[in-house]
Amino acid sequence: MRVKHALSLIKEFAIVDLKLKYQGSVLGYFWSLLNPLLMLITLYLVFSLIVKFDIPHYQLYLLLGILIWNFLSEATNGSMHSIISKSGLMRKFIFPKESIIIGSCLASFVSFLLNLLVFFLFMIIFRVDISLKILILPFYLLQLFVFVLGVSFFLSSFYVRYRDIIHIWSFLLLMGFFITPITYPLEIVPFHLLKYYLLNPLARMVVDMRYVALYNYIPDLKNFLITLIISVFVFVFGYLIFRKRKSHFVEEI
Amino acid sequence: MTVSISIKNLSKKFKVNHKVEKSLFGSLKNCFSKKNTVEIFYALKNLSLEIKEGEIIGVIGSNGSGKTTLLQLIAGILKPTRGRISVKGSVLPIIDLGSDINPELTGNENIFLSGAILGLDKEYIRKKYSFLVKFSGLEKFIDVKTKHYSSGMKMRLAFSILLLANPDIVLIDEVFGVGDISFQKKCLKKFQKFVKEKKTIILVSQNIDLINNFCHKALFLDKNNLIYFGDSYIATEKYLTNSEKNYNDFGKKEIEITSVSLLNSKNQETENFRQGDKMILKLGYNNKKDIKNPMFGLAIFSNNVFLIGPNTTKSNVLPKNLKKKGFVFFEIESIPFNIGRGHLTVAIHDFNGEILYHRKEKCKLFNIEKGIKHKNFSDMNYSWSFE
Repeated sequence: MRVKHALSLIKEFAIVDLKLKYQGSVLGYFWSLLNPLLMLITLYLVFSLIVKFDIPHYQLYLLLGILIWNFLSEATNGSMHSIISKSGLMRKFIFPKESIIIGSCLASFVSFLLNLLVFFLFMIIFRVDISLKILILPFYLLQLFVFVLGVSFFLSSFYVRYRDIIHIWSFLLLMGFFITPITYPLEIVPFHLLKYYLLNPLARMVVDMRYVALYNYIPDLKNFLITLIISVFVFVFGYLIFRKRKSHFVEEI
Repeated sequence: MTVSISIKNLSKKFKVNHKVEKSLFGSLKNCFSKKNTVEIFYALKNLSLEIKEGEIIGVIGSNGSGKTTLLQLIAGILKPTRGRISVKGSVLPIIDLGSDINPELTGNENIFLSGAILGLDKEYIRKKYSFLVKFSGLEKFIDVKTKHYSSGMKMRLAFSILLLANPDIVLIDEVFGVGDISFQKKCLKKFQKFVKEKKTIILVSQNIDLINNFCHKALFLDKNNLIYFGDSYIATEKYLTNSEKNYNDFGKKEIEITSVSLLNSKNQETENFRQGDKMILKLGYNNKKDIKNPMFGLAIFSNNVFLIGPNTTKSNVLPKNLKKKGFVFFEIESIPFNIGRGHLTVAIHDFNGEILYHRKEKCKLFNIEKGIKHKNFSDMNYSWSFE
């Protein structure tokens, strides 16, 4: 019964989030896509005209990285926002509070998937071969979702009490954007630093997802397992903290 | 009747940060500064009570006396700091109506969202949808974003959604002022239906008549303590006299009334009597200014009608050497009053009743149940004694 309640709530919360984001119109969706596209254009101009990397399909390389990063940023910030905006509900009703975070992340995930469709459209436009190997992409997407969910649980459970977390997080996101191979290739990272560079699980994920989606290449399974273990760990850790702190939310908000 | 809600030694502590620092930086700053801005206060202290299935309980008290906190604890929204609270059955809290309505969604969308939060089946909501919309009276506006609603309309929508739930226990917090007159009537009808379905209802209200008319029992909270739990009339009267304390106390207190209590034939303090019972009023005094020959008097009211006003001068019973501090007893051999509620006013004047020393109005409430009525109150036998 509780699980059924939680599932229907997750669905409802996700639908409401998407509805509000797109305001029930097709045009609304394009507005939300505009942000990553404009970012793509800016970064593309900078990195293909000023700094030149020898990367095939650089515009798509860049776009996929931006979309992944955009998902991370949207889902985490969205979760923090929704836990606060649902304070009225939490003060009045008993319901599984986890569904707020999961619903919010799910909404961001759905718009990420929609953006990926646009990405594939671009792949067709730029005549990039799409092979069956792309069928393993969902595993990577799922893993990314689990990771992002864990981070969202962690951040939102503290955001209720400490509101400046959102500023710290936006700084960390900006920093992360540059220590993840989004605009540049992994190859330019000096070899003796690569060990440390790859401590960032998102670096591994972004690289692997590009291999699968863009370059028709199945990456090392070991790499996948490493990021999977990290993602599951982050999820469990974030969720446990959330579960421990959730009974205080009503008083802290 | 089985117990529906059982509360034992319940306490709820809140931490209030006077300088609201909702940030990590602020918390760190507070760690280093010596000034402690956190105040701990108890919203409820050591509360114990039992509510049986199908009972309607009123909760009264001034703002900030812990009424809403109690409802939130029963609903499980807040966790008790100490003590135990066990609730049998599903709870529907009707608190702070309209705050859960999402302004960016239409009325229709809000119905389904709130339904999901209540844990209702989507099919069930669809089935009841037209009834719900009709009840709310918002047929014309149901596909309009609720940010364009008036606050009354929002509350009507919220209330109508809540009615879809079928709880065992209903918690109602000051919502009987919602909407216009016709909607209030609908609410009252629904409330009466809850009553008929023998649901356990806890009703927080400032509306004394509502509490008196509907509630079996009432709970009076003051300064986060339970003052009284029992007969709703006595609870509401206590609340009224408590909030009018300053207006019910007259005189310069040259000789002061220090205590007033009602005793039964076994010398036990009580508020409940039966017709034909013995009733003793025990009045403590303190003659601070050594007033000679004071007059002790009282006025007895039954169901808000004045009955009789005996005093010591009329009865000619005052002892020659009155103690400085002591008690005056007024004894009725066999209660001749009508069934219902009564109250007492006591006063001390000078011998002729010209100078008032101290008067306490409506200082004692009592309850008369059916018994054997021997006489009319006009030839009631009573006696005075001193100690």
